[in-house]
Amino acid sequence: MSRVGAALGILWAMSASLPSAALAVQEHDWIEVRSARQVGSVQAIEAEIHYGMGEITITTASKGLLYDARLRYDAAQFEPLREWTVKGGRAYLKFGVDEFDVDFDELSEAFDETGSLYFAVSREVPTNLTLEVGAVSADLDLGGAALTGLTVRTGASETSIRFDTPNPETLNEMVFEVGAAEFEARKLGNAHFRHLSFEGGVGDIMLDLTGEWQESAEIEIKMGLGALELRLPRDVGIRVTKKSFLAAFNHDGLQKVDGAYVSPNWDSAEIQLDIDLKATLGAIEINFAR
Amino acid sequence: MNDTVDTMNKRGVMMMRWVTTLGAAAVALVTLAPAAAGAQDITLSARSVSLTSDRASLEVELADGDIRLIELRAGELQIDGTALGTYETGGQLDNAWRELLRSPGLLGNTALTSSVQDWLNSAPEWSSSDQAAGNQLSETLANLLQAEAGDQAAQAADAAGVPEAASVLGAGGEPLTIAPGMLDLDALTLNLDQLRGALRRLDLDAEAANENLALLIHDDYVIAAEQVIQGNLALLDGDLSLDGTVLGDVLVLDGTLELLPNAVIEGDLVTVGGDVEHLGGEVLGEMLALSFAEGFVADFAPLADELRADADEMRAEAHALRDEIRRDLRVGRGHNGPSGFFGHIGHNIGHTVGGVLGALIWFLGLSALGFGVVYFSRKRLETIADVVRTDFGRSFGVGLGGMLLSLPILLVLVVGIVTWLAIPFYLLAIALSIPLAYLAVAHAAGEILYNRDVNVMRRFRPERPNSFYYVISGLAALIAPFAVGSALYLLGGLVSPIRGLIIFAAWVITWVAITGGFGAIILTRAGQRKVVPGGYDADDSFETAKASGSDV
Repeated sequence: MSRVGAALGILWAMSASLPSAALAVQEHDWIEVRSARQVGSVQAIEAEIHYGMGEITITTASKGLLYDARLRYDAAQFEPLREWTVKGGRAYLKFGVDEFDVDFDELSEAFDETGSLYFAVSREVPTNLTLEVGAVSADLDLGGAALTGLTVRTGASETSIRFDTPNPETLNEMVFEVGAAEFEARKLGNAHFRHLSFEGGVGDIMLDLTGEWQESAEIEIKMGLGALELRLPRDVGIRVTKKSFLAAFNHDGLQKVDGAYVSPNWDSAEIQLDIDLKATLGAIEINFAR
Repeated sequence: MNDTVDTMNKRGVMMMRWVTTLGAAAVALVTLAPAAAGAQDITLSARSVSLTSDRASLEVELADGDIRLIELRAGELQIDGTALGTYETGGQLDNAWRELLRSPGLLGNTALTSSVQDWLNSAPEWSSSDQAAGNQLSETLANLLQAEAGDQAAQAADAAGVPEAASVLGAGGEPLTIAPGMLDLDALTLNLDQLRGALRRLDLDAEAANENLALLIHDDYVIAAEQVIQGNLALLDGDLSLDGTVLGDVLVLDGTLELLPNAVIEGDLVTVGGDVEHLGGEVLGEMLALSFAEGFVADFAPLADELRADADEMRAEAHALRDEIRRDLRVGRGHNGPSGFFGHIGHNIGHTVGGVLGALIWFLGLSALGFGVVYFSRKRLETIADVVRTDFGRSFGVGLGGMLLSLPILLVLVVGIVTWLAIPFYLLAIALSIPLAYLAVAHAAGEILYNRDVNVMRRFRPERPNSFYYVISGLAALIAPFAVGSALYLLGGLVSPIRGLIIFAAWVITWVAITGGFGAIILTRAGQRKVVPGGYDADDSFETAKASGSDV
């Protein structure tokens, strides 16, 4: 009986302490910072954007601006990051949130009112953009941005990337590293990349390779678990080399030649896309644009 | 280009330096204000003079149109009708004041000013009976002259198009220009408080040092194209039209900064309050704005409205295109997309893994709880489980009744004042009885499965079963429908009706089990009393037989 009494006492004490714990509310200190620079004499810029949780929007800046960044963050939980260096006409910028020190007791409240980051990329000055984000909803409208490099690393996120208008520069290396995410990239042909590396963990992925291609490109795709849709243009040659395990592969419109899947115009096409595909478990679907 | 390294902390140090410098400027202004007032060409206008045997009054019109009435009347000094002191009628003050009011041409535009200044300069030591009123009168006239000097300087600046400026020394002894000349110290203090508050909220380092603040602006001002400011500039209030060059930084605390086409800011443009309108110009450093409310205080993407309109239009078109593509994709997936097991595996694996993992976590948690209950109170659990196993119908009926009565009983406890103390224990008892009921049913189910020698359980069948085995195997049986239902997500939409039925059945089983177990808890008084099927109470029978002397 005494053991039962003791157990009841402990449970009673726990139940009594619950309301007070729930009432402990942390102070928030929302601050907005906006930073922008005019082009001036800068000839190229490397921009790193770091962001943990919230909404992120990347787009293009107004004429004359090198970048235009806005950050809304809770100063009680996050440390802002803003660093700027110029060496020999090349600028280096880091912007966003440095520390990701969230009190998880406050997560539900944090989701009610999240921070946000807006970053506008120059249309005039060649930009190498790196984006490292955590649990976010990311919208990248990069049509017309002068990109020479693009790296996007996401955690658990919902990410949308678009190149509605062509990149005035050649994008040497485009890297997407995606964790557990819903990820879609549209009109990647307008990005004018030479090499694309995509690595996906778990999620629903859509890569749309249509757009105005200017030169041939190589594409490496590594998929863990999930569904991958590849939208391909009809006016360029396509070759897909696939290694998969327990993955369905719908390759309508491609013929199997020497172990690879190629489009009918592969040999004659001026521009060729060589796709190396590795998938573990899931479904791969290839569609050609109408 | 020179290398530049800029961090938030560096900005904080710079801004704190500005705070220090602005504070020093305020001190300098306090010191210089009387001198500045005296240097102006002041004009007071006398509207009327009245001299009677018991009254000597002067009505003055100020530059801003205000009328002030100063009079010695029946032994009292009155300013605008308010008595501020007493004087001796026909005494020293009365005579001096009447002499001033009799000055020739007093009602002219300039005579009053010079006469008042002369009167103040030659004012004697008043006798004791006139001292309070005399000093008050002198102070009032001096204040009038000083206030008028500030207003007239501003009016003169407006008329000329170029504001007056006053030079003072900054905190480090360097020249600092205040424009327009006079400065409202309250406004400066307010702005300094605003800036300090902003810095505190940004948690920036503070370093007290002097910075090269060259120009402090607190009202409307123009910096023309050919003008060069040799240092930093701070806008506290007013509209600043900048068409010239600032060799340092520009700090906007309040007001509106208009950047014109020829403007050049060689340093940074920092906006803590106020607005910035870009109509051109060049900012070589960073344009930084801080805001603590919705929206930003400065618009850095100025240019022409046409460009903005174009951008908005393009954005709208892009969004429309995106929506159209999304619609196409949804339609495409619906009719032509993959179907069956692999088709939706990406989506469905997540549901499956989540559901099965959830069931497994529940199983492990309840197993751990069951382990504790069996260890500490096996007899009671077995007693409750026996009733569940042997008379489930009765247990379920009692449990259903108990559940229906639980709320009225709670209301009774609430109504009775003394019974309030029992409410927590009552709620706790209800809360504890739910897992106990579930575990008791699991125990009973495990025992039934063991006795029926179910094929799938044969591999795990022990030689000598015990309550631990019964509880765990029973829990597995009760929770399995949830796991099976979740696993059916893998098969996609084709089996969704079956999946729904299984999940629904699993919830029904759970509810029935808890209700039956709850009834068994009531019947056995939480496992303290054995009950046999049909209402036979073993303990009562034993007691009855014992009382009657039967052989038990």
